[in-house]
Amino acid sequence: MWRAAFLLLAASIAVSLARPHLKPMSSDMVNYINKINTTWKAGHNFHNVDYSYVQKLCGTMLKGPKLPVMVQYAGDVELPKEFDAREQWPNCPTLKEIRDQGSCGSCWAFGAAEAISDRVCIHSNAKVSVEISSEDLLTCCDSCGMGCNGGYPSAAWDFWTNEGLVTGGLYDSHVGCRPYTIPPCEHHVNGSRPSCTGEGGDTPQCITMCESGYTPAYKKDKHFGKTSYSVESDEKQIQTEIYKNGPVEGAFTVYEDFVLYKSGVYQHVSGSAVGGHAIKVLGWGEEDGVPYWLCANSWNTDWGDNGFFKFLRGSDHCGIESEIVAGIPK
Amino acid sequence: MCVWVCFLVCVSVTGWFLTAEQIMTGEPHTVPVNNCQVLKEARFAVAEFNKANVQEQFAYKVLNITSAKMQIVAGINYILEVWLGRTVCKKSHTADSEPCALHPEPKASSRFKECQCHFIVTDVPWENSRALTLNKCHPN
Repeated sequence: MWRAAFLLLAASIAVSLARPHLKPMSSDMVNYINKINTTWKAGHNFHNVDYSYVQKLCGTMLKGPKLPVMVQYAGDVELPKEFDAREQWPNCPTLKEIRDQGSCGSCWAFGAAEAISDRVCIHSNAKVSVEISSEDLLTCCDSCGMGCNGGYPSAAWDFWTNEGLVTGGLYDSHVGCRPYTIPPCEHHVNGSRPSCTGEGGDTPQCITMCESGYTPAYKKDKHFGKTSYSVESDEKQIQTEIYKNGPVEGAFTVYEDFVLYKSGVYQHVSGSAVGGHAIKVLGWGEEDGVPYWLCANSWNTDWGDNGFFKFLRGSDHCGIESEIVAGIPK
Repeated sequence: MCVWVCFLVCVSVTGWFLTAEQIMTGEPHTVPVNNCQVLKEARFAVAEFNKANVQEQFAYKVLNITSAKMQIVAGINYILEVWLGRTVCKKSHTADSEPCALHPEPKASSRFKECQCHFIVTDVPWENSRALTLNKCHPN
């Protein structure tokens, strides 16, 4: 037993020593990722810099406040090999949308508001199609954590069932009651000063009023969840939940190489952990025999594959399957 | 053998603590202040600070970084606490104030010689962009 453990340890050390030490997020890292013929491709468009890191182990993270665990009876559900919520519910436009969190740590509010928007539409048979406000969740949910300095996805869904969420679109969109107030960093302007200045890490105010010109009133615009729950850390359970009820919110540990993702099925190959990140999971599939989760990020459309990405499925890679939360609209 | 047993026990105990800890998504994490990237971000912040400090003709430089954090946003935030000192280099001739000597004494024209700053630098690597998104300094 101990001998086996020793061999395993020695083997893992040997593997980690054999892996080249690369400057994080450098051209070297991109070239390395693209050369080793892994399941995904990295992009080239970035500073030639190395990034510092926080040592965190893959798969150990994000224990937020607990929601009741929903266990689906999966026995009678025939799950397809591939599933894309955008194709399943073509009359729900928010499924195709990619948002931008700007220079604020509000990923937890985005993953929730995006999946809730989709679910409100799906569960109304596309009769109610609204954009649920990331701003309302980010600014008004005190129990969610620290606003722009991080939050718990589970608490966000709980807030939706207890306090409700108003509508609100992208920054400067004038869509809905409370659109996002933090600007995206300016895009496609090489070397110029991004416009994402000003918020300085502060969370915007919780304003219980809609933007002028919008009706109905704030309180009347609240959309509520009937239930919120966490989904068992099991591939089939997560698939069944998405298949039956629509996209879910998930979280995982971001490593330096993830920022460079362009296409393919992401799996961590290089660099160190930079922190926990929340996203929306909207489907699954297989690419060249590699199973993946189809996910939407909140880093605008010029990151990754038009804002979307594929993430290794079935092995709780970087904790992706261990923090799935969802809920049903009222 | 015993050493390996101890090592394995330590690894599993550390794993348990990491699992039990509450981590928020989007939360800033402390990183070492002497980290190479942190130093680069701090130098960028000072260069931007100097550009914005219009009443001052001399450039400031980094004396000490007292705290550094990293945060995932739509990009990466570097949240820095930095002490700056006034140098003898004129801003108009200085792109990088790092090699400049410190000013021996505060001039009457300048209100302070050293200052303490809270900076946030937002990097968006896939956009090739970087900006000083918070610049809050006070004299010491």
